[in-house]
Amino acid sequence: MNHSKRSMIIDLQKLEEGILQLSKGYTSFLMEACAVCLDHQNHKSGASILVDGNDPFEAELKWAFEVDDELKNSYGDMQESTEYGATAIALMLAEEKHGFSSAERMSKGLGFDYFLKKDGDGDETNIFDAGVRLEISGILEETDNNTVERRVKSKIDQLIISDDSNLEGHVCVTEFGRPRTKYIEQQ
Amino acid sequence: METVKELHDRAMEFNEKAIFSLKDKDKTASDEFLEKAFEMEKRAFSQFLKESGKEPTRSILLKSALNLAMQAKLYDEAEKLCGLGLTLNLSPKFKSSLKQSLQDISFRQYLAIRSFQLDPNELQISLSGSGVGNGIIHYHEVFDRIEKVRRLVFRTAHRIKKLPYREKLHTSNKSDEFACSLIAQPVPGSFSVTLRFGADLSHKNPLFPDFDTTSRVIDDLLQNIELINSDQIKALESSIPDEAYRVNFLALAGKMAPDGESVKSMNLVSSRGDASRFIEFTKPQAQFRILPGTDEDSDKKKEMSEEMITLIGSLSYADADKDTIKVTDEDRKKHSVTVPKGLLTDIVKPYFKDTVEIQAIKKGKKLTLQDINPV
Repeated sequence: MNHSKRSMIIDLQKLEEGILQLSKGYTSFLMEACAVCLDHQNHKSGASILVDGNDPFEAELKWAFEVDDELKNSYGDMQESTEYGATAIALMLAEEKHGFSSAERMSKGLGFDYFLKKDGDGDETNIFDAGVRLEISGILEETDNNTVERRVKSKIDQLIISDDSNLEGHVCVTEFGRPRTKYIEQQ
Repeated sequence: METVKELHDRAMEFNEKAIFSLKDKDKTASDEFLEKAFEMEKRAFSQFLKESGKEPTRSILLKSALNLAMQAKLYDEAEKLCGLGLTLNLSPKFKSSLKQSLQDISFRQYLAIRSFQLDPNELQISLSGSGVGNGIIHYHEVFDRIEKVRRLVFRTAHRIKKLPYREKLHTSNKSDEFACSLIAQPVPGSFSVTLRFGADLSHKNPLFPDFDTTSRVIDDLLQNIELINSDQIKALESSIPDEAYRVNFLALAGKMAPDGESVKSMNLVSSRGDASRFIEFTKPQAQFRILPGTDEDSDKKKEMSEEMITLIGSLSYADADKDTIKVTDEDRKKHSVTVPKGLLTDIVKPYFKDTVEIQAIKKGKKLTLQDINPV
């Protein structure tokens, strides 16, 4: 399979302006966490990321700031940062590749992290009537026991918690070592 | 009047602020924001019930408010929401999860108001998750973990006494060194036991001669579990510089870690005077790596064309002097595998004569064990 052609640019800098109607402050935080994770794995702006799924392709990752010691220190907990870094990639793919226009951040423990909507989805009252559940996870560096495939499977299992809603579920797992991201759509 | 959507949005704004506060290590502010997030989400849910009550929004808002109440440690509020949820016409699956939540809430309430005191030589272990009832749990879920904790405590005591790592431990309760008592305790929504080391037994334990030494061992153990729970592997290297002890610690901790479902969390509690130390060990087993390599190691691995292989077979032979085991596969072929120091007695030996799955690095003809699990 040839997916060497880089057919998409994931410009993390866009997060600074806010995407999917999320607050700028929050998405800027995600942008920084993502750059810290990439830098931790020795990747620089311009690095390629494999966007895995039904039709894999390589994308270019871009950001326009230096990951200095001050920034690294403020994102010292790499486990947390990996989750937020993965969130940055997942939300950018949700907007740019899948065409969603808004994301509702959900509270912990619901079985999904975000509720994605396209223009015209749902109504003002029954706010979760139409849309997609998005579950996100990150791996700083894949190991034999902690692979993207295994994590995707566990996140698909996690979506079962909220399957009662009959809403479509998406899972996005990003690994920062390669780097690689897998975006799966569950009907 | 604010709409349901506006109330939910405000709840999520407070939720975000709670996350930011945690990032700034301001736990107090984070708790306050979580409380506000809960208040808003509860209002969104109540208003939605009055206005429409349609699914799936009704269930999602209820679950969300319940989760926020749990995170904000507002257990009475969480209990009320569960009660209200059980009176609604919800799916059987959701009702069942609310019943599980009620058990979890009872456990949390117990931890929040616990009136018991542990002695300095005691360590309480509680397990909670879908496979745990009130004082009921599958045998292996608890006793395998207790055994791992027992081994961790004794390895820690050896290390603190600056004894060189040795594979062999005197693991019988009759031996002076490995003695500990088990005290069962009824704790709502969980399975809980207390391990008592040394001091109250009739004989003198050379590793735990007094409360001070024992509490130091327990404190050291809890601190290191906190480090791995938060993925601070570099800090763990400073805390346990000896590689054999560190490999042993990581392996034992990984094997006793929650599976994320049947056992969601393993809580470890110790007391020092009026203060209690409580660690909620939640890092799932799947995220553990017994032998964490460095970037340099990975590069070396590529250069030397090493590959990771999986072997399934019976663990038929072990040589402690040569740190070697043999695995006989289904074609009766024997594979010799080198076991890194720190793993043979505590991790490999319990599987002797069992069928196991082994992950090993193959370099030339040499196999070096990376992980072992029962089949």
